[in-house]
Amino acid sequence: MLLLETHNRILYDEVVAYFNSDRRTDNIFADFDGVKFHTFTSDDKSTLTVSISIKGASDLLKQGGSALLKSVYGDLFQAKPEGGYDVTLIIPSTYSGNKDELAKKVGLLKRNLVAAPFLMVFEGVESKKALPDIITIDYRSDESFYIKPQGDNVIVVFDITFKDADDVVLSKIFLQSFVDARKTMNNTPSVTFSQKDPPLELKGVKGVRTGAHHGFVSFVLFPAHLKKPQETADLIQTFRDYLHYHIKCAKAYMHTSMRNRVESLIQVLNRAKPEPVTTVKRTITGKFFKQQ
Amino acid sequence: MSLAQVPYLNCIRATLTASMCLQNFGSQIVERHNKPEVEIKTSKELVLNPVIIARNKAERVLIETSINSIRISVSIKKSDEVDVIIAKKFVRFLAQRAEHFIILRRKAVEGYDISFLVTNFHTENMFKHKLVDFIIQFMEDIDKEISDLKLTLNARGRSVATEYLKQFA
Amino acid sequence: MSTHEIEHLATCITAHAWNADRSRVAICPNNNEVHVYAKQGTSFVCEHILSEHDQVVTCIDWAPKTNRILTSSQDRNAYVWTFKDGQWKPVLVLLRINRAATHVKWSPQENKFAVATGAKLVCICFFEEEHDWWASNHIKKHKSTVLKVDWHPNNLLLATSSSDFKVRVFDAYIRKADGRSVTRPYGEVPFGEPIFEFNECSSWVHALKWSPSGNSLAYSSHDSVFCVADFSTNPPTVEKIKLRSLPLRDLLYITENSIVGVGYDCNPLLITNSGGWKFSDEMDKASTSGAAGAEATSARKLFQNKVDLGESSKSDTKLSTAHQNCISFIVPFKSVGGVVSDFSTSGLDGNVIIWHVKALEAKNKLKVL
Repeated sequence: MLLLETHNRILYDEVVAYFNSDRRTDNIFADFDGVKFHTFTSDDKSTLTVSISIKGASDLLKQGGSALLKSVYGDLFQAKPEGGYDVTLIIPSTYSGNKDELAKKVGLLKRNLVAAPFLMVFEGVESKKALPDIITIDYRSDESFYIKPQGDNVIVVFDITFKDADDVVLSKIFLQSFVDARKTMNNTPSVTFSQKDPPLELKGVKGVRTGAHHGFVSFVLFPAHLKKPQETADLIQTFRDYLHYHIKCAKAYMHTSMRNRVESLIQVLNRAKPEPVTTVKRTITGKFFKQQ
Repeated sequence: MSLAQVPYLNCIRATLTASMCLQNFGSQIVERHNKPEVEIKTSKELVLNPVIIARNKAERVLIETSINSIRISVSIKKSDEVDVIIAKKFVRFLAQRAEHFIILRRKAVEGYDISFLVTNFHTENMFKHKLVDFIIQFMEDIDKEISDLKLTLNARGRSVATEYLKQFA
Repeated sequence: MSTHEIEHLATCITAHAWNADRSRVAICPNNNEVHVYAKQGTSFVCEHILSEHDQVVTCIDWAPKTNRILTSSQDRNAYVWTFKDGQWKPVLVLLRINRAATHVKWSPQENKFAVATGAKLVCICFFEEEHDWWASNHIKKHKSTVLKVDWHPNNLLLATSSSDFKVRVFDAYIRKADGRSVTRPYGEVPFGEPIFEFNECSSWVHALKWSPSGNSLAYSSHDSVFCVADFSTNPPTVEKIKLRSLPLRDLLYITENSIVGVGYDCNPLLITNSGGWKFSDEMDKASTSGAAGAEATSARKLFQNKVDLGESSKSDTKLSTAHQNCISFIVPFKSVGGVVSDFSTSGLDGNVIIWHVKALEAKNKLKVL
């Protein structure tokens, strides 16, 4: 499995468990991008509350988030979120629809929320509606993505930071292969990346961070991609996590490989040690044993 | 082992064999001490001229010999940033296991990536020719490891990118 | 007849010495102890452990006539051990040094001995009856640690080799020990003044020995230079040859014109003089090695090796020579009138090996002159 899933498995399980057992739960758990979920049942177990906390929630909600969540979750979506969280859904135990469907839908809460601005823009470009020049979503404390409609196309720019200098180098390899891979494939978005300096598309945009640890990846999505808005939005929003996931995998692989190499080197060094002189010892019961 | 490396490694092997002739030697400076002379360098007559065997600017070995100890410092080839990272990681990895590697010096000599310190106590308890083998093997392995890792890294990058972009089509 | 007999007595041996009738051997297993082994039947059994030193023992010498063992150690001390009531009793020698003692040697008449030290001097020790102890006189003049000393057969001259790249010859006449009735070969030389200084070597001089007659002095240094100084002329004439082998650690005249050198090659080398000194041959040819025989490996051992070494046996670990590590010591085992018929070597591999010169000659087509 190379690609990441878009739904949250724990969230899905929580909802399923709520309908299938009468346990009381109160869980807080995390997802990519610093997302925090809180699920708990009410005292009388009549409802399950699901809340999500995410950076840049206000932007997301403004840029089509509210509308999208309302249409997907209907009555479950609460106008006033739980304190400390950004979006809250309340699921009654008496829910009458397909419960598994609902669990799946709830599991996609984060995906829906983040996909909202993409979907809005994609749809806007399709139908030639008036759109803001550029949408900035600060979805992590020090990282943002930008969505910029441009004629028939949509440009998505990720500003990705790397805490570790090594990651910068590794990401370069990966991003370069994105650029290279594109050349051999049809119907793919055009990919460009730049280190330190933001691309031209972001010229004049306020609050763009720059620096050695910042990498900018731009996807130019063509009309063909906008025809499958949901799939494209899913892919685009998991891009950062996908990249980081594989950088970590690569590091883990290097780690394992080095571990093996080191083991084999220790073996080589052990060959330099002479065999200990074998001594015969007598145990307390009078038996002899040979020390190896 | 690449063919081009053979003369380089052979040269190192011959030099190591000649310089790893050590003997127990009590300090003539400090009473009842016995310290590797190559490290303390208090008596210049006990330290021989250091030898540098270089294949190119980056790939070189410094061999410093004294009467009771020898210090071997290796600089690994680093053609790009990735090499640097892998070499750095590998060296750190080894340093963490210095206990097992007995002859590994905790800190590399300045200008080199990794240093070994072989004292007369090591040559007394271990076979000298095998110690030499180890260092040669080490140099071979680290080169191999770096190129292997770089290949797999690029391969992974390619398949990751292809898989991702395929979804758009 | 086999060419040599191997006794594996410890994991590492720094020095060994035989008693007069070669029934006992004292070795130092690279620690602060000296083990005395006695030959019982075909094997050696540890008889006594002499543990008075508290740092590694550097050298052992066993006086054949007076049956006293002399030991030196890096703990700055030397002891003279005498055998009394079934026990070895140590007597401390007043060396008055504060660095390691590196080498010791009884004088041929056993009335005095020399101790080489890391304090850049040599102690000439003699017994003071009135105080009942071993006192010492110092020979300074060395610029670095003294590595080896050797007595001229005349009991007066002493040659020293040092890590300051030089070999020196001193007159070690001590009136209290030698009395007044000796004639000194170079006249009234003041004590501690070098008579000759040789500087053919450009590295540490590891080994030196007088020939049985005392007419020549051989020495060899870390740069694999081998020299013989001929004392029939005054000043002595030095012949210098460069060996292709790794440095030698010790030398032994097996005849007046044949020297065996041992060292880092793990192989005794024969150097002979026929109108000029020349490297003759290696004495331990690969085919003669009995040590590299196949060992029966248990199944457990096999798997243990796989885990520890990444290969199923240690077979390729073995060198083709009998000694598996640097040979640091060579002493005569059997000699008549300066012709050594058997000699023994010990090395860092823990083996004491007794070599038979005649058998070696026959087997390896050597020519001892």
